[in-house]
Amino acid sequence: MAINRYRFYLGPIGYLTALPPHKRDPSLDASREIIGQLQEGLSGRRTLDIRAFKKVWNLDWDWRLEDELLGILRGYLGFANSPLRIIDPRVRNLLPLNLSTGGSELQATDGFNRTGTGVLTYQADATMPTELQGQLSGEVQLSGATTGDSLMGITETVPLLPYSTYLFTGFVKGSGQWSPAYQPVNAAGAVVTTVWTSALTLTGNWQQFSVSYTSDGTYPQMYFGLRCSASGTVQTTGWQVQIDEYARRPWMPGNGCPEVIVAKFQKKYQGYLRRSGVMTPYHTLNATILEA
Amino acid sequence: MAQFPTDTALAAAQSASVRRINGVLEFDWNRDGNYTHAYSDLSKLALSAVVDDSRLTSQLPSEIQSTTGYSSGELRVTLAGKRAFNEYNALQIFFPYNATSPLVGLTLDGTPVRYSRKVRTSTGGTTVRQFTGFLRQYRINRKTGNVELICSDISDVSADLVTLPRWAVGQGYYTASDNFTSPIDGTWVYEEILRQAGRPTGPATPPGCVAYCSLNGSTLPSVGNMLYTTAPNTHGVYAFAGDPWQQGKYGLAPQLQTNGINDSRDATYAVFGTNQVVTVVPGTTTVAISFWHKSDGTAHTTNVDLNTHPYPGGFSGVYLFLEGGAGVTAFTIQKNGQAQSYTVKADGSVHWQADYDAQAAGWHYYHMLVTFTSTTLLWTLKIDGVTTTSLSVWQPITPWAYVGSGPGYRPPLTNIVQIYAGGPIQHAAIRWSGAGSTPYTTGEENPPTRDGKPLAYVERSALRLLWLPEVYKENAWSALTKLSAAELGATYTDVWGSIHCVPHSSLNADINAAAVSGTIVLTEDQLQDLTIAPTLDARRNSVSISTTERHMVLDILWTQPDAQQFHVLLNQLAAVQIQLDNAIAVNADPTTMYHQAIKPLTPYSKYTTVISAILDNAFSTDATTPTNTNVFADCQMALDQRSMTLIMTGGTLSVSGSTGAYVGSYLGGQDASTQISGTKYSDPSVLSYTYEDLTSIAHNGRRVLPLGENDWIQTSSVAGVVAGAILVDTSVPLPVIDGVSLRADPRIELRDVYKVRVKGVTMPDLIAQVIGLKRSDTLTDSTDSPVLRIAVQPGAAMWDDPLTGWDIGSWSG
Repeated sequence: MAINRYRFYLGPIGYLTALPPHKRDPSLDASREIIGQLQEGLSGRRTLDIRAFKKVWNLDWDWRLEDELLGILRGYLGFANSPLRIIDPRVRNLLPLNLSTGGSELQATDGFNRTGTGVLTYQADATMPTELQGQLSGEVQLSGATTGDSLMGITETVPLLPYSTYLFTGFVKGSGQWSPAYQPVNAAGAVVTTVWTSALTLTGNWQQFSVSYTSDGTYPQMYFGLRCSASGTVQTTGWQVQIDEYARRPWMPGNGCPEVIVAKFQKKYQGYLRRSGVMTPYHTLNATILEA
Repeated sequence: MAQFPTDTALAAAQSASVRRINGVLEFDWNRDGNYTHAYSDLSKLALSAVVDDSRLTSQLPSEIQSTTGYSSGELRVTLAGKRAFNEYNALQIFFPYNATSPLVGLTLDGTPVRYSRKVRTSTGGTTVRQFTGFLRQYRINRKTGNVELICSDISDVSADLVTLPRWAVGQGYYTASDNFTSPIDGTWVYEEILRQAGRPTGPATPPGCVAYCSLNGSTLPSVGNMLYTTAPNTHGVYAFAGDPWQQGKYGLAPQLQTNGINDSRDATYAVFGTNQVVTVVPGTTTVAISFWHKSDGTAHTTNVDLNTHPYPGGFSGVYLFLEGGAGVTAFTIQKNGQAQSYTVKADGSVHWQADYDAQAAGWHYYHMLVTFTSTTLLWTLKIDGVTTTSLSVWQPITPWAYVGSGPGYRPPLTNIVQIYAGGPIQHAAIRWSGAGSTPYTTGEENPPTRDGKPLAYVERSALRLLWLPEVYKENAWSALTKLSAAELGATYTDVWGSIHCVPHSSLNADINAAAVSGTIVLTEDQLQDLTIAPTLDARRNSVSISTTERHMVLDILWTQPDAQQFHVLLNQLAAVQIQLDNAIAVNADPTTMYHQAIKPLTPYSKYTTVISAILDNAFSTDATTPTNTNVFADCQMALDQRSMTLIMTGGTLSVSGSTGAYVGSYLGGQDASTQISGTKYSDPSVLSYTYEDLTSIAHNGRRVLPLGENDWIQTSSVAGVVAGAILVDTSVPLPVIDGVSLRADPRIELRDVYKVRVKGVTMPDLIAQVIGLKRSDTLTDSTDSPVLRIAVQPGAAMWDDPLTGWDIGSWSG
């Protein structure tokens, strides 16, 4: 069952369900808010201090049935398991921003996790893959890795929708041999296993890698990354996880599937329509969903 | 100096138009220095954090805009929410009666806490410490769910009470040129207060310590008692060759003396008592002597044996008397680090002796451990933590035998400790297994640290002390700030929670080209506001200051007021506590346990302790002598020197008609005749001095700054230094820049000196010193509000020599 790109998916890991198709007007707001402040010096110079970017979704629905409220209500009223996660299928890249930018967002390795004794750093790089040239400032590097070491993106898991296919792509260069890899994670948050595919022999030139995975419903979430198949150093950037798009599409900054809070929910009775011979109430709904 | 002054990546991030900055708030709930508790990092809960390094506050008139005073840091944090969905929120974590809180069972107040700002840089990011302290108070609001925390960086120090010993130089201060009458250095007082408050600047007082003398500006004991202080020569500072002190490993150390040492007058010297009696149980007792010593690096020479006078120049030694007047265990050292350890038995014979080789030039830590077995002695010397083999050992055929239970000198029961410091020797400690552990432990030679930083820094004080003003069970922070205020220095805490004590000359020395060049320039790109308000009231060109001198004098400390006040029954023991004012030591034979009650001496000797007694059936008769010679009395001074205990017996010999004795009574029981003599402070002699800037007076008229009396200002030379220092600040007053607001710069610290560039107004840049700093982080905003004092008059020269202060008529440039 492929994902419905016109609907948001919201719910606890393993139980994300599609919200109703939203209202067809430009009211859908999916902004990234800056948590921070513009500072102005006596000279008039403006500088911006940023603590974080946080996503906000302001969604409207009309002519919705009572039964269709459940997906929102369980988050708003708090009776579902926490935390809630969200998938916005309109955004191509499901990885969080710093992972997708090879650490360029934070100029740091936040969210990348390595096993083994290699050294993980962020480094600026003037030579990016062609399609990322001018877009990203650098990459993460894992040096001194040996066979079996891994470099995974663990800021957050990617929620798996049963029977959807996930395509993980990115760019690598360096030395040794490295394989794209994924780690199914169970409902309790534990990594079940590491799966990797055929290895690339790295050189000083950027190469693209890809691996796909189709969920059979066994695992609710997953990490993606790289595994060392022969000792060496890897530099990598431009990671992307697409859902139900079988061909790789150009890289976009990741939006993540973050933990969210349903901070506001309004329900108004819109009117009655006859449904199966019964006069049925319909509603207009508004919800504000905040990244945690 | 600003933090990370050479971090170009951080500097670039600071000046970038877009900056990522976040607060990092951590608690050491396990109190092990590791901050590894699962709930240590509560950064995600912080709604706001305000670090307030309050403006330096002094006792000068408020209009005087000088760089002096004290300042401590406070962190106020508001927490709310939860870090992750499956964790407790802030209220649940901190609610004191939540039995399932992850912090249950822990004592929250007093927990170490640290706060940093993390700035993303091109190299990853730099975490810049802003505050280090302790959780002092937390307030939970049920309605908002907010938890407000108040943290202080001196709550450990301000909760400790300190007491200084009573001591004064002898009366020969003005006439004698020997070491008995030299002032001590105020640096010792700073260190001693900090040591008692748990922030030693030298090695921490080790477990089992029965005697410790830092030698950091004086020879007064930090652990021990002031036995023998009836004479002024018990804590002598050798001062023949100018400054008796040099910078040591940790704090000051005695200068190397080149003259031979015949007796205690030829070296910096101390004799005092252990803080409890040291006994030896053969087979189980160990004693350790440890100290730092600086070798001059000269080659090995023949070792100096016992009783070879004069000892060579630079000789030092630490002695612990174990058996009577002659039995001693000692560890001595020559100027090149060549050491000798020995033990002498009660009969004066040497039992064993070991010689050790010279050491490379520089400081070395010695730890000599002596083990008393039943038949012999074992000894282990560690130098810098490494066991060192002796060059030669001598011991007699006769097996070792300990003769008694120790000398038990009084008052109170104690062993004599003697220290010769003919060279740079520091932090001499004696440990005894009866009081705790004695073996060397790794790192014991260094001061304790937190986050790798010293707990306190003390620069050399300008104070030279003839006597110690009263500090008795006083709040440690209060005592520190009073001391600092006296010399117009500064006592403040830094971002690591370390306490700094600096004299005024150091504050002036901050303002030199080296300090200013290459540091941060505050331009209007960062500055958001400032106010500057020069005032005539700040101009003072005449300073009046007083000195308060006191000396050690012999006197009667206490006289019994009533002949029949103390009636002690036969076979009974009575004791009474007596408060002493300004007393230094009680004059009593330290080798005698009790005085037999005697009749008054004829004539009275003013300096003799006399305790008389009379049987209680002898009122009407001429009882010139107590008929019961078993009536005894004794006086023992308390360790804190503020009181003594008078101990009395009613006798053991039954005499017809008597039930006991009146102690202190004489002549038919009608006259009191007990007197306790000793040493005490002389009455204060207050002298006034005036120091003036005549050029300024000629231009502006005389404007007087009265500094008043201060017990810590005791000599005219110190008064001159202090007055000169404040004249630098006030004869050409430089205003404070207040109301400064700027985009947060986590590198800024108190006492930093920066250039301030105000467009179209200042040319060249203003040079200003940070004398107060408030850092504020909220969800949206990071700003700093420093208080700056202009440090150099714009357009004029800097002072010729900020180290020596005011130097009128000799400006350069």
